[in-house]
Amino acid sequence: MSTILKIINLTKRYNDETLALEGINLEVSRGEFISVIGPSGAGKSTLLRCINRLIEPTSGEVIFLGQHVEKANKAELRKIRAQIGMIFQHYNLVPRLSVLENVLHGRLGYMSSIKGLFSLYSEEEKEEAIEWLRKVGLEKEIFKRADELSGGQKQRVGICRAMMQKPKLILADEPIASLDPKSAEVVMETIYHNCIELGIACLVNLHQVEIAKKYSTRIIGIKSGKLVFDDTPDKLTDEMSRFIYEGKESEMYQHQ
Amino acid sequence: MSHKKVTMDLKEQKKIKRYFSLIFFLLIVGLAMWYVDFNFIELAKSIPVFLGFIFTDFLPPNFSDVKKYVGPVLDTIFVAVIATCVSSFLAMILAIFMASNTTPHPVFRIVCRGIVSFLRSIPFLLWAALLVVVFGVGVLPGLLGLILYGTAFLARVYAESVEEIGSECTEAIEAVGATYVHQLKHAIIPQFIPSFFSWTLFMFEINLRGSAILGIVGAGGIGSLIKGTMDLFQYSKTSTVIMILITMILVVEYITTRIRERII
Repeated sequence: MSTILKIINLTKRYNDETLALEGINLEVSRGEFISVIGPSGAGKSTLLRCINRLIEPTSGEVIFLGQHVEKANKAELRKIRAQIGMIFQHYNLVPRLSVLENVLHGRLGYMSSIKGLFSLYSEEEKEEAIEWLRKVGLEKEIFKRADELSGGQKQRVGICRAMMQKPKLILADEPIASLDPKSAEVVMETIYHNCIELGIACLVNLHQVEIAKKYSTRIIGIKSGKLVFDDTPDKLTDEMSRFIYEGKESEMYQHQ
Repeated sequence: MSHKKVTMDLKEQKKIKRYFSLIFFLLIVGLAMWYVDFNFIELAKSIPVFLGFIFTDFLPPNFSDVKKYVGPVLDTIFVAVIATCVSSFLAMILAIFMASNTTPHPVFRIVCRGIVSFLRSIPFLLWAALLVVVFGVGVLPGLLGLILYGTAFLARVYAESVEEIGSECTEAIEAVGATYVHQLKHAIIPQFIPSFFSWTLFMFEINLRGSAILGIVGAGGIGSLIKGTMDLFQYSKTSTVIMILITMILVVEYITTRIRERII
């Protein structure tokens, strides 16, 4: 299996004091679907955002497809980000734009400033966007404004936007934490099946252990900024889960 | 026991503070009235004189020169239109430099804020009066005065609106590898549009009123008619001009309210 992402000794320190991540080592291969579990504040979000440098890592290396992300200049970083899809807890759509426009935003990473400024998406890109929306069951909402959709629908638009990037890696930061159980299942299914089908490596932050066990090929446990577990789902014992969530056990099951 | 005493003391202190502030406030108002010779009895005495002036000199309005007013009225409206368009364009650029979430560099932010604060601290009427000295009597100095003040005003309110846009949309656009320009076009502008229209229409109303009194400092428009007729003691003509002005403002307010309702 080819390596997509390699993280070596990654550390993030906020304000020279708070240590959010400490010496994280991680290797992600093609086709892996990895859940990152841990209580709130453990550093899961920081880890994901350090990979595409929405947050600047303090030290360590992040290597995406053989390229050092932490050393990339502006243009290189754009190219790297274009190949990494991201799905957010709060969907992060532009509320006043249409569903289709939000999905097409996934192509901006591949466009020049001028082309993007005038929204010069190609016909193929538009067709592809509609095709993705159809695939996730939103063909009727294509021209609706994003803020008219329900939470579950918004997240499916977010997935389409990420898929439009033709990514090699998807980072999903608590994609179901703001959803009701039913929408959450639809969203998890959509992410899981499309990633497996297209061989996209995926890192999903989750706080519910059960869901992580159900969908992952591998689980990573993070506790106060340190990687404390990294193995297949069947190796995650109840004891281990309790250790990861020590002091915040209720979050393991709770659906926020 | 001691706890109770502390709260009592605090209450007492608050009370004293409140009385102190009230006395201070009254002193200031009293001093100001004494200084400018303001007198309620004088004021009451002058009311009949004022009413007499209104009913004998101002009314009935004299419509004999209405045709001559068309030009200056159009001047006023068009000056307001141009001033609003130009200043909203300039203010937009300044606002993007000024808002903390869109500024290309903190230095831009500080420089633009400085310029805007300076421009805003000088009232447009003063700008116009100064510019009349440079450009001579006419529409241009008034127009420039409105543009200078309007740009500064709009830049500030636009920047505040831009700063209120959540980081969520920009974060997603940034994460797909978009450029700075893309972020402005696809995340900031769409979210900014409602406040942009709301503030720009408001500015148009301010500019219309402003452009109506610019004539008083020699900068053209309806104001010059008011000043001209008053200087010749033709108060019945002045009242006609003022009636036109009021109608114009009410009509524009009605229209802008309707536009606002439709857009937002």
